[in-house]
Amino acid sequence: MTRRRWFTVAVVASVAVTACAGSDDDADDPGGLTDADPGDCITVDMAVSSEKIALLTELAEEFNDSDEAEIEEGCVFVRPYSKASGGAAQLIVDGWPNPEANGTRPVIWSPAASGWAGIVNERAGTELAPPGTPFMLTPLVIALPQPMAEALGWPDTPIGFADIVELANDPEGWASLGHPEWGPFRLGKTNPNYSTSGLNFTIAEYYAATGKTRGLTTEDLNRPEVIEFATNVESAVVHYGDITMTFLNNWFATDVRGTSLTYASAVAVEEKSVIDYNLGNPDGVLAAGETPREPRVPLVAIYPSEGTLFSDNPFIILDTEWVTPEQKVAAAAFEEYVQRPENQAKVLEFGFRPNNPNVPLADPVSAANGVDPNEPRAELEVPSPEVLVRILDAWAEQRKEARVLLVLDISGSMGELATDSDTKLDLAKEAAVSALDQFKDADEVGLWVFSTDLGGDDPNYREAVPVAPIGENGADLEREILAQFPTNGTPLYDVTSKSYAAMLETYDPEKINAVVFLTDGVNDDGNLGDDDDQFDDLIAQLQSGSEGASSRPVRVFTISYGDGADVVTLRAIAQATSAAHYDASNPATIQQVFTAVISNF
Amino acid sequence: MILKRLGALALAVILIGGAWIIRDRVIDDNGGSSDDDPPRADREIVCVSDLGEACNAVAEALEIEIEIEDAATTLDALAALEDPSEAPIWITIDPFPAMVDNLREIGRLPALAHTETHVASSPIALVALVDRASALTAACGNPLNWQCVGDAAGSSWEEIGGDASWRDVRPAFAPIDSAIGLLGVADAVSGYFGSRQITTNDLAFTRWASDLAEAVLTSSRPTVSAIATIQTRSSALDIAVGAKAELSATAVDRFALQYADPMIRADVVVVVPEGASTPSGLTDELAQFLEARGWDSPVTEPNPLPQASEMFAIREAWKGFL
Repeated sequence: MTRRRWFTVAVVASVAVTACAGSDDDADDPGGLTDADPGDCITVDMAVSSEKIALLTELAEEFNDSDEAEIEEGCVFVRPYSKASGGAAQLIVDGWPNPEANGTRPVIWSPAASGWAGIVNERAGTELAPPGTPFMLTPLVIALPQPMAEALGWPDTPIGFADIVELANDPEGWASLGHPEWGPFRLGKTNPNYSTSGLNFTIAEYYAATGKTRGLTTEDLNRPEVIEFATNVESAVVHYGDITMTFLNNWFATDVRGTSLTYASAVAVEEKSVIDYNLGNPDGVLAAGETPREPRVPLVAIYPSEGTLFSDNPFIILDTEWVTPEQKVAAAAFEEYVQRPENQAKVLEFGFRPNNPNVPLADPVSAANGVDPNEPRAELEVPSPEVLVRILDAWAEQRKEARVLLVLDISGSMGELATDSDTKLDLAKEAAVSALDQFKDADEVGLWVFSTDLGGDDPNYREAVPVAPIGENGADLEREILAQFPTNGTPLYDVTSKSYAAMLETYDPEKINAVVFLTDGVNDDGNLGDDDDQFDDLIAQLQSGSEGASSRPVRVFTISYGDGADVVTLRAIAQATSAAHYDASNPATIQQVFTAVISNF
Repeated sequence: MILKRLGALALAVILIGGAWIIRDRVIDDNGGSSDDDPPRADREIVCVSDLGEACNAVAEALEIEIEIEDAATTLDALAALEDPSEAPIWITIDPFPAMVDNLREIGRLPALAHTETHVASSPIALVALVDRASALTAACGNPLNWQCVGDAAGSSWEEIGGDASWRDVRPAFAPIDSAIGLLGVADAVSGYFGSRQITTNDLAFTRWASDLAEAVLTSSRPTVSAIATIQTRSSALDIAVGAKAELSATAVDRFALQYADPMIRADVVVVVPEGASTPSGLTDELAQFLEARGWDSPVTEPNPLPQASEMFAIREAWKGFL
């Protein structure tokens, strides 16, 4: 490069930095650049699947500060943020309503796999998501703790979906392979309506049911033996959820306590997640001050012998009414940037496989991290959009049924205004009623409300609707939810313990058993003196019921609502039952949070 | 003394004049310029997507704009262009310039006068993992018999002596609207006939090509290059057809290259419309980049490609099969 060229680069870069100031403020934010100020630049918001947010944030920051962000139309400022692929797909079809809660309307959409674009276009009846160029790859694998993989014959014996399904359906579970101490086979699988791993595993499940590796049809999905096969696979599921990180974080947390082998036997994840886990960073995002710690029991990636599907991470510039021609040009500049060999090398650093053949596959995609760069040997064909949509419909019918107790805080603080006209309780009631539609008729759902001085046998809670199939009690649930009003204190520990115990007592091994616990406060039962003991007893109670080969897991999914909730306690409660905590500190997001919580069922 | 001074003056004039000439003719031609301004194009420059990486690199090095688009898109635009003075400089692959001429002749539009500079060349090859390539050679010979390859496509590898676990033989080409995509299919077609003389309305050929296309549909269809796809995702397809140079130097241990007879080439050309001139250094930069990426120097021997008019027939027939 000539001296003059260097000078030009320096000048343009300095102009770009000045014009696009703001990105440095967010340099440490691993969750994206949603709050970064783009100044006068052309803003390119980018919705990306959660597993690659750290990579895209880094690339966007570098791009925004580079002279590549200077185009004829002006400077470009890219703002990636994390959005589950399936959630974004439905929002695009719906015209992306309520950006305050759902995230800004994206110009670029990068779901984990191209199949989502087909689903969007099929549902919308028009091409809102044109074909996008893949910019990195990672195959779907079945992650197993190494001892369990070895019990199945790894690494010498090829393992397929059929082997996993056979074990999942064996009433003896791991005892059939000489390991009764591991209990039944427990499958971790995300909800295919939201997560690409969940979608891809479900596709593979139907292929395994038909014996095909391509050409799956809607007629195949309707065959009785295929329905029975899929229903049996789903019966082994621990719970669902919108992102695989929930499973990986729970696995990692139980690994610390030495109980990971009884939390889950296998989880359908992307290869990249196995690498992250084994490097001690299970969710792929290192928060400030977080130090990676290698797990006691590493995971290994099983590449199913029947073939698998790839997440190809397409870079899709949307063709929707909210995307301007100027933004499309700006988005194309960023797309060109991420395809460059030096940036494709960065893709590899984050555990993905580069899509540029000039960047050879190397560490960390290596045996040392539980993965095999020479795999997979075969692929399953991505079904047509019509079949993909039908798979999602079929799954909704065949998924594992749930028994869920909704526990709703109606303490006095829920009466605080969240908007100009609605209280926190108003918004929570509306969200809870909407969420009821996500259950299927056979799911059993009940409602408790809690506060202090409620009268009755136990003044701390009231059973508003007993747990029963929602096909029968749906109207009662809706009426009771809407009838609630704010009252007194927040006996958080006591009611968590009692709701958990009630669900444990009526535990149904054929279903996902769970409590969904929403509160906006801290424990406040009128007796501060016993709070520490109460908390310790509660966590011990939850852990003892959730761990071990013969455990009867009742998951307690917690929602911290508003900015006064005791987030630390609610996280601990969720973690003690290997469930998940959800943050609705902004009450405007409660609808989305409820949707995410119910995706576990 | 006066004569001596006049002689010195004349020498000085010659030296200064010579310096100016050298500066104008030599330095500028090598990419520099008297004002240090970047070289400028007096026409739009368009480049086929197959060479997108090379063209982007050249654009960055010379600080010029180069538009990247599929060969078929530029072909259609040039075929219908009313005003020849609007024709862009086109970085493309043979025989696309001849195809433009052919289409304009059919459309009774005047030919676009131009010059062509050959920049680089690479034979069309079939790339497969080493074990699959061995099985293919054993079954279909060396050079490969495309009729045999087409017959094997879609059937089990085991049937041609491969391993049953490899399942079906899945060939793949780049998209047909790309230059190398069309050349790949043309390679298969001329290979079927064994020469550049082809007949696309031959019934047996139509059946064979239709079966090949159906087998291609079972591969994950590459968005740009089949050879790039097989390198990054070898489980997606078995036989990638494209330019030999598309196989990265780092991948030669895993993959084998095979060729068909006749061996056709992808010849990179810079097409400059009459009255236009290329930015200085463009051809050299492009040639250097392509050489570094494994392209060969331009080959002067005739390229045994089907005629330009037959290339259209191949394109349309292939689109119909897909």
